[in-house]
Amino acid sequence: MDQKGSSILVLLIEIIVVVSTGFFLSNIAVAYADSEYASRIKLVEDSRIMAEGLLGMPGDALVSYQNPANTSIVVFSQGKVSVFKKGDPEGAKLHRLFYVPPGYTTTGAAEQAVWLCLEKKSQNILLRECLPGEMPSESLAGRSGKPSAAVE
Amino acid sequence: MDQKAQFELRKSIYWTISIFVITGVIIASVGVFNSYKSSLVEIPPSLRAEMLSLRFFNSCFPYVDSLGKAHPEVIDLTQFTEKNLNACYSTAAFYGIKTFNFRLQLLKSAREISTDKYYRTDQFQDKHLVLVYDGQSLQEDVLVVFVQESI
Repeated sequence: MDQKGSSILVLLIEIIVVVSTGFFLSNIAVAYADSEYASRIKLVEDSRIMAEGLLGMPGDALVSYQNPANTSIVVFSQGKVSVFKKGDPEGAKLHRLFYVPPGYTTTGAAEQAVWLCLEKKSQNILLRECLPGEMPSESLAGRSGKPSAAVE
Repeated sequence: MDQKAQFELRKSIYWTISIFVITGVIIASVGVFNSYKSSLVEIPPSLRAEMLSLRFFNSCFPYVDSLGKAHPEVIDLTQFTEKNLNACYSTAAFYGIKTFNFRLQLLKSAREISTDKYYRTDQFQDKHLVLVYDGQSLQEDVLVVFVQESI
């Protein structure tokens, strides 16, 4: 290879390195700025704290909660809440653990629900999609434009 | 060394430094994005501790009347034991000291119990007015909940 050919090759390699670095950085930025992922973290944290609250409440209760990540699946198993999307590998699923006192159970699931309901009946806590009439009024929900929760 | 060789040497040094700088920028960017995201979705520890402590005056040490009805916010002193506390709130599944631990103190009754991994490094505390049943009568008391976060 002559001198001119060699310098063109070096120039091409430099351009490839710069472009691929820029592409990699912008990919990282887009992935981290993805609000869906942040919403899923918010959902899994809120679900855990609501379950822990309900476990300490006397009597029966119903909490309706506007789902900030309504394209996700939420699953309650005994002492564990999981949030994920269909087809997510195990490593991408979000899990949070919480302690369930003896005698209590936590179960249920909801898929792509706009409103989630956590229902405490006796010593059972069930997660499910809210039925019509269980959500707070539209004015309450739409006033702030942000996810909201209500306890009955 | 001729001019051409000097240019190539400078270029190699330039790219070696550039690789370190680019790697540093990538790592710093990931760190900044990560901490920003964590700050956006963080739940205050005091809120979670308050939710967890609801059970201490509602269901862990319940006073059950002669009809078999459990009364929330009424603590039966005979039930106010570390055994019952650790059954009601266990830290074993959460690596003990890596989660919330609590010390409960009844001021007027002068009774104090704590969870199994509590080492008196309180971060904050909370007070609740409760009724206490001492086997004969109900009396007003103050339940102080000392909270130790992950240590």
